Amino acid sequence: MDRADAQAQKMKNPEEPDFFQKYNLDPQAVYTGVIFGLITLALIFVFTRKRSRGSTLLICGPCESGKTCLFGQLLHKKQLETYTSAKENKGHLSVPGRAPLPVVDVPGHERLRVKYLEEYKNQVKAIIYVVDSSTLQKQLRDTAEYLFNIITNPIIYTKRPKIMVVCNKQDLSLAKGQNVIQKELEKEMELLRGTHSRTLQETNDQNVERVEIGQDGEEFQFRHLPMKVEFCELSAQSSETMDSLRKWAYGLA
Amino acid sequence: MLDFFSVFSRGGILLWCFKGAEDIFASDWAQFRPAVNAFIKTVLLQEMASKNCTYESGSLALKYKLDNEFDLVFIAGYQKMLPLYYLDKLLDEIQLRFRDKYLNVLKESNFFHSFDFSAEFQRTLKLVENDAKHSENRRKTEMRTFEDSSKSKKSIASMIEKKDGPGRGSHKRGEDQEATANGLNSSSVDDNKNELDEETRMANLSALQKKLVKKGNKAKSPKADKKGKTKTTWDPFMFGGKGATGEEARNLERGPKEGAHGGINDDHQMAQFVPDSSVIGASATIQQIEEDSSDDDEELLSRKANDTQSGGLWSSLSSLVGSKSLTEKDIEPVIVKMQDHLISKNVASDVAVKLCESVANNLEGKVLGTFSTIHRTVKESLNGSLMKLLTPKRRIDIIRDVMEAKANKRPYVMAFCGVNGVGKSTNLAKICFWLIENKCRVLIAACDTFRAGAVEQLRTHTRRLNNLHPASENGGVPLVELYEKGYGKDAAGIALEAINYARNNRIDVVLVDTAGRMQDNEPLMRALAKLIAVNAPDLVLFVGKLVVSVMLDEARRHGQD
Repeated sequence: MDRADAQAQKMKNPEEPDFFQKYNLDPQAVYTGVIFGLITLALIFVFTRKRSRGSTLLICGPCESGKTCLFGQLLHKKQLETYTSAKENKGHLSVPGRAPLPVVDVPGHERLRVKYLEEYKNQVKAIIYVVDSSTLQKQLRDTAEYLFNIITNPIIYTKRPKIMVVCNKQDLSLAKGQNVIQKELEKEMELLRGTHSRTLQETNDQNVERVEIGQDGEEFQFRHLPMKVEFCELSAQSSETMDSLRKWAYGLA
Repeated sequence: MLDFFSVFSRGGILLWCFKGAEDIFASDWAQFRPAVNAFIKTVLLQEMASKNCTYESGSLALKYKLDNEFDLVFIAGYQKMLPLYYLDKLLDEIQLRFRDKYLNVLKESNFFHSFDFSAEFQRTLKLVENDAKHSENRRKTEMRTFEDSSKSKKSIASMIEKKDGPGRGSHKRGEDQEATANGLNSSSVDDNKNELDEETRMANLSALQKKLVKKGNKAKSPKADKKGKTKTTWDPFMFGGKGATGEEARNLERGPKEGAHGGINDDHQMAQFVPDSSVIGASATIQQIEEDSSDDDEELLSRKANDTQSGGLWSSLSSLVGSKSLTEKDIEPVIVKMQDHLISKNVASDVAVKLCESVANNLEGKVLGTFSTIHRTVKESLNGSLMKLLTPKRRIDIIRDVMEAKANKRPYVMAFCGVNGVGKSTNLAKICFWLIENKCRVLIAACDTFRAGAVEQLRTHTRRLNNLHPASENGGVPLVELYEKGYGKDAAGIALEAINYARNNRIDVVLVDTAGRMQDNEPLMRALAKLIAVNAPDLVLFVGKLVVSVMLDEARRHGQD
């Protein structure tokens, strides 16, 4: 028995380290390979997590509200003359003492905004929503609906970006103040909250979840939202009024 | 004159602009911004870019050029009344110079650099303007030479086609050569004349003869200029073929040898019956013909070379960058394929052609990525364009609109139109159900006064819908009502009455059902147009079948009316 055992041991022993020999592998190479694999996996994990958290500041708002102008002021303290954007503008806001913050100016034209919002929604960290204070009355519905769509976008909603509503064009005589604008927007959003919950389901993708915002039985207010919504007044024509917004943006980085 | 020139990025940032009309009409300047905005919205965002690259708004006209490599737009504005012919050239020149000057800045797409291009622009503008003037002055002569060269080629070609063509031609050329060598201009003139005569004879039509001669005359005159031949001796020859003998004699005197050989009458006969007589020095002359023609070609080529020199510079620059920018030639086959594909997928051909044109315009000059093929790039671009086009310009939130209309104390009007049998009435009933679920009062206007049973069908729908939400639930008021006036009446009138009825009875929504009609039935379409013009519905729903091409055509035609 002992003999047989010993023999069995002998038979086994030379075979045990044979895992590497059998496949003609160098154990060192295998270990280094495994380690490298783990490192890359870790890197990918970190990278995607960073992505998913989002790092970009988006500048949104309806057409001709002054987004590109604001973009120029914010990034380069330079006053730009601008036309309707047919493409997004990208840049980096250099924050003193921190890494620069990527900024994207999303075109406000109806045909483009959806596309670019879809493109950048995964990277969103904060949103500057630009409102034309002087023509708010005329554009209220579009302005409110766009903001509503941004907020209720399922992906953006889960990311809870900080939102700064910029009441632009304060230099014009008919410009409304931020309180008025906030109230008007809240009123309109309340309506939209009602109508959107009643819209028909789309036929193509039935799994789209609807985001319900606000609190039941109460008028909609921005403070009901899970994300922080602030308002500020400024005019992108003059760089002096930009300070509060700039401070806010620095706080993001 | 040029009123306005600006360079801006597709992102809408103005890089540099020139305001020409500033001092004259200060107010004019204010027109340009909205004009450019309108241009961007229609041309760039709706893929309406056409090949001639112009856009008109009001009294202004804009000419543009897209630089797809750096996403720039060059745009020149002028009064529509005063078209500028050198604009194309100016745009090209400015584009090249601007790119040259700011290549590094543009590569980083740093649009916040301060672009001071004015001096350069003024210089270029002057250059191009002068060039335009010059070319205008030169135009006549240049045009002639060009025409002439082609025509002379033709005549040579016709000669070559004949059996003895080459020999004959070579002979003539040879004589030309000899003549020039000997400094005997007159003889060469003779030869030319011979050639002409030969042509006419070959035509064998006396009536045509004169015409041909005239043509030939026109054609030849520049050549004569080139070689320093005297025109005066030449012209009368052509017009009065017979009377030229006297002069000819003189010519003969001047150049005895050649003249003796090429005496007019002899030559005519020779040309007619013995074309072989021109075998003299055949081989040498053949070479000379080639030389001659190549001379012409060289001129053209040199012109081309001048044109392409800048292009060459470009290609070298872009080769430095390391990737290749697309040219029209690269794109064309792929675009054609795409176009065919679209058409085969039932997209109306007009639409496909327009779309592809616009896509090609957007792609020209774009730099290919390292790993992308032309095909994929084109496909992606087309995809993007289609996405852009098919994104609706306004979101339709009917309930919100109904509330708005309610606040304004007027009914919200929806009209349904479409081809027969696509389900207008059925969809109307479905939408009606959704509306009453949302607590709106609905009036259905039976404006299909043509098809048998249309009104009865709607009545049935109404009854069913009212059964779902009985009137007793809503204080005795039925949620759905039908407004009908029987058959054979004017649909527009019925719709108008229905809307008034709805206003008086505080009904929220009016659904107008129209008779089905084919989009190419002119009188019926006009009736629909009238209905829509009279009642101005808030929403016109086009009910269509899901066959893209047919629908596009239908929708377009319906849209037109």
